[in-house]
Amino acid sequence: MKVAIQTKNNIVYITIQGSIDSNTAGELQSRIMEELVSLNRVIMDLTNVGFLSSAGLRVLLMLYRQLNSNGGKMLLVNVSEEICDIMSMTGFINFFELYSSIEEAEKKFKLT
Amino acid sequence: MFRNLPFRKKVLLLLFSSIAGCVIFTTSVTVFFTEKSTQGVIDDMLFSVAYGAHNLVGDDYHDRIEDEFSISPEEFELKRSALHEFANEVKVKEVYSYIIYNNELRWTSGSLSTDTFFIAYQGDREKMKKIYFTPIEENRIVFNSYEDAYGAVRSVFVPFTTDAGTRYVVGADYDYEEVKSELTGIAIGFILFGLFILIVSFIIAFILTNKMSAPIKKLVEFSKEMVDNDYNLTEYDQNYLKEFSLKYKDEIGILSGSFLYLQNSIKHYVQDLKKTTAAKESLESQLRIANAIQMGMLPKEVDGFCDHNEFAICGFMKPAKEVGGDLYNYFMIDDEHLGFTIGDVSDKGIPAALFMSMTNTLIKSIALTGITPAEVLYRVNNELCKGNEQSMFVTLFFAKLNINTGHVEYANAGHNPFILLDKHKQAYQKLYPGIVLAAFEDVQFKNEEITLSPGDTLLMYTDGVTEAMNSQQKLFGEERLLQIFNSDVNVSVSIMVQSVIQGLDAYVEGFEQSDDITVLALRYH
Repeated sequence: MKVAIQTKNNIVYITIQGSIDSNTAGELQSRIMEELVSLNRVIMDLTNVGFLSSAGLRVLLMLYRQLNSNGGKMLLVNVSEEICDIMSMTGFINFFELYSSIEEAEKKFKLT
Repeated sequence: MFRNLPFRKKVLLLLFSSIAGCVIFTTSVTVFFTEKSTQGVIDDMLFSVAYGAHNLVGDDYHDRIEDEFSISPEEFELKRSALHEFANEVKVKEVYSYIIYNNELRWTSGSLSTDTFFIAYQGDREKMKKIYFTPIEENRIVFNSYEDAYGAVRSVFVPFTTDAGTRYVVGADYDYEEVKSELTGIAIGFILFGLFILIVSFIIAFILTNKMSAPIKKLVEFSKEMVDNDYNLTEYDQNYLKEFSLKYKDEIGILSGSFLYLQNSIKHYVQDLKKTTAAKESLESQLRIANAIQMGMLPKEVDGFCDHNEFAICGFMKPAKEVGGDLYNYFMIDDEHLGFTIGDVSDKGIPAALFMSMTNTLIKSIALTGITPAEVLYRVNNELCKGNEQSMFVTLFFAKLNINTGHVEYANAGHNPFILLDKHKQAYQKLYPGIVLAAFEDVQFKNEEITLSPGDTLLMYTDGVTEAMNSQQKLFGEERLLQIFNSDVNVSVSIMVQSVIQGLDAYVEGFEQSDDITVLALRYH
């Protein structure tokens, strides 16, 4: 798994590549927690994530709750069908906001 | 061979062979060039002697020779003594002259007392043609070295032609033995000198290498001692090494310093390793105990359910690590209702196990109040959300069976659907998905219901079953799970659970289990 974090126009882009499972979730968590202070508007690009285990969902939930508590927002982009199914089954789909492209997610931030 | 020699012997051997090589080379070169230059001087001298002899004998003498009687013995003797005196004076072995007469060599004059006029050459004819005929046939001066019974000789043969056309050769022999013994003397001198140098340098090298290798030997001793003493060195040894590193400013000093450093690092490393191992062992034993406690939390078949003829229930949990994050439980809520649950905490290991035990306790205590499954989940969820900083969450299914009617009321919090096995079919029951516990506060859950007929079975599992992987990274899958029950649905629930576990084991073929595995089966009678 590879994580790239960059900030543009007040939006933090987190791009992840590879599987987020119990072996890699810890690394993702520490990378995100490093940046946490500056995190407010987050666009997470999951285009290249094929597998998301419950440990990975936990990290997403953690980020979601942190952002929620300080008025921030996390938008997920390009979530694969399999991951979408997992999110439906576990109910996360009711809370996470999913977009099909980065542009759409950016539009959402511009409107608010 | 050479590689196996100790360092010191290598140095000595190299020194010995290089000095010996030098001596042999210098001696040969010197002898070679000395001989060359000596020969040059001798040849010049012989040439002059030949000319002197030619003057003594004279062209006229040879012009008069026609046969063996041309010169009287008196005249020959006169010439012989003159030549003899001359030869002595110039320190040559002998001088002589000869002519070619009827294709034969005839001595015409000589310095030796044994010489006789016009006597024919007595020796090897081939040699004669090769050496003695060349000066006359090719009309050139010939130098020649040879060795016979009398010793080594250097000769010159100078051809002369008189005004009358008589051709003869004047020869002079030099005793080469002297030169040879001179050269041998030089060679011996050189070799003796070389030997002297060799011995002296060998002694010096012996002492020096002994001194040089002593600290290395000491270091070797220390290293053996260090290994024997569990990587510890006595204070005396350590001071010794410190002194070494200060005293020697060369590689030995550096080596001593790094030896101390190495010994120190290894010692600490070994200590750390011992500590870590002890800690690991203690942790492992704690984990073993934790595993026993966790397993103790899960109900056993025998836990007071034998006297219920209305249903049979059996569960099994196999954690991926020592402790797991899966849970199942069943208990009587009142005389009429059985509560049962299965759940899966996100992630695994110790954090998941702690969360699992908390969830397990909460479910039971809240369910015992008799409220509906959806209400149970609502309350458990809110309890779990409190202080959940690590954002752990649980997927959980909770149900309540009326043991008299077979009516089941259930609610789901993001858990996998259960399989319903009745007389006609085996199928996954479509559940309202719900939302996982501990993630979002104040979420509502939905009560659903189903009525079981006698013989119907509910099979619940966690995703450790369907997502079990084999060595080809292929998942076990929901379809394969369903097929296990195709053959016989009338076996007991414990055998059903067992057949799921066996089916999984056969599928993964020993590939490492990556997630906790839990199966729970309930049959209504």
